[in-house]
Amino acid sequence: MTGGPHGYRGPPAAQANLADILERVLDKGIVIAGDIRINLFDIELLTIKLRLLVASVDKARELGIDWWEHDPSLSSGQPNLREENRRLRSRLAELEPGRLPAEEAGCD
Amino acid sequence: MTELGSYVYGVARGVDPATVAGLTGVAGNPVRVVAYAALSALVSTVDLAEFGEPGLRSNLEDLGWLEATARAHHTALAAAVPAGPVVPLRLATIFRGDDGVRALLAERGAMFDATLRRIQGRTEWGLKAYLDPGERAAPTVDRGDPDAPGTTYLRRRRAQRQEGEELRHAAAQGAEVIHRAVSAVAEAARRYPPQNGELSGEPREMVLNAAYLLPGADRAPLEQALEQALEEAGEQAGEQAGTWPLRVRWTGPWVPYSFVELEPEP
Repeated sequence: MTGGPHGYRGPPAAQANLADILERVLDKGIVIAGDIRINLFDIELLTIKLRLLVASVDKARELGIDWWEHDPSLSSGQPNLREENRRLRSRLAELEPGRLPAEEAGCD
Repeated sequence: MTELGSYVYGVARGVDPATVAGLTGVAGNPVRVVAYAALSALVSTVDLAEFGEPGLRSNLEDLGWLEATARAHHTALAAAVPAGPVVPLRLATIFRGDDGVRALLAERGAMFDATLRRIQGRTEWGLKAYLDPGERAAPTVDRGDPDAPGTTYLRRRRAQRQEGEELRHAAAQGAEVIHRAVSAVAEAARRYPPQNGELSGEPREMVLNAAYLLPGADRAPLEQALEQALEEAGEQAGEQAGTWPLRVRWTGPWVPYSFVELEPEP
C-alpha cells in the first residue's frame, strides 16, 4: 500500500516557529546534489545568523556569546561603567522616587 | 528569456496530483508531481534568476526570503503526508528541468524506497525545554536597590549570578533525565543545539532541543514518559519536589526531517 491516512495534522506552517522550521529544512532532510550547486553554509551572512540559531552553549562561548561570564558590573576592569551605573540609578531615584527601572540591560 | 528550474521538496510514492492541487509552494508557484516508476517528486517550477546560484546566494542572505521559502518548503511536504510517507529533501534542491528530477528518482530509487519504508506511518515530535526559575527570583533580572547602591548592589549581583548558574546547572541536569526517559520510548531520538531566542522569539534560555520518531500519529507515549520522569524526580527530591527549573514544550507532528538521514536498522 502507498500509505493511507494516519491522522497527520499540520503543524500549520504559518504557526510553526521559524527556528524549528529552519533547523529542519536547512540542516536535516536528504542532501541531493541538484543542478544548482550551493552549499547553504558557505554563505557568510547566513552562516552568521544560523550559527546563532544553532549555537550550543559551548559553541556560543567559542563565538564569544558569553555574557554571563563577562558581566561588566562584576568585572573589576569596568569601574567607570559601574560608577556610571550607580550615578544614573541615584539620579533616577531622585527624579522618580518610588519608581525604579524594571530593566537595566542598558547598563550592563 | 526566463530560465526555469525544478525545485524539489521531497519524494513520496505514487502521489495523486489531486493531493497537491491548489497548493502554493516556493515563490508563490504551484506544487506539482513529477513521477518516475512508483516514485513521485513534489516539485515547483522556479525562475532561475531567483533560484539559480547567484540569485540563491543573495536571496538566502535575506531572512524574509529565507523564511517565506522555508515555510513554503515545509507546507508542501506536510500537505502530502496524509497520503503516505514523504522523504524531505534539504531546502533549495534544484534541477534545470524535470528530466533531472526523473533522473534523480531513477538513480536513487532504491534509497528513496528504503527510506520511505522506514518512515512509513511514523511521525516526528519536537521537545524543547527552557530554563524557567518559576517562583524563584529570576537570575538575570536585576532590580537593584535604590537606597544602597555600591557594594550592596554588587553583592546582590554576584549572588544572583551564582543563583543563575545553579539554576542553569539544575535545568541542564533535568533536561538530560527527561531526554533519556523520552528517548527510551521513541523509535529514534536526535538532539539539536539550543535555539537562538531572536529567531525563536523565546526569551528563556533553551536547555533541551530534541526530536523523537514515533510509530503512529499520537504522541501520548512520549508525554507519558515525560510525566513519569518528572514524577520520579519529584519523589527523589522529596521536599524539594519539582526542583528542575524547567518549562517544556512539544512541537509537531513533523514530517520526519530529523530521521531520514539515519541508516536503516540492521
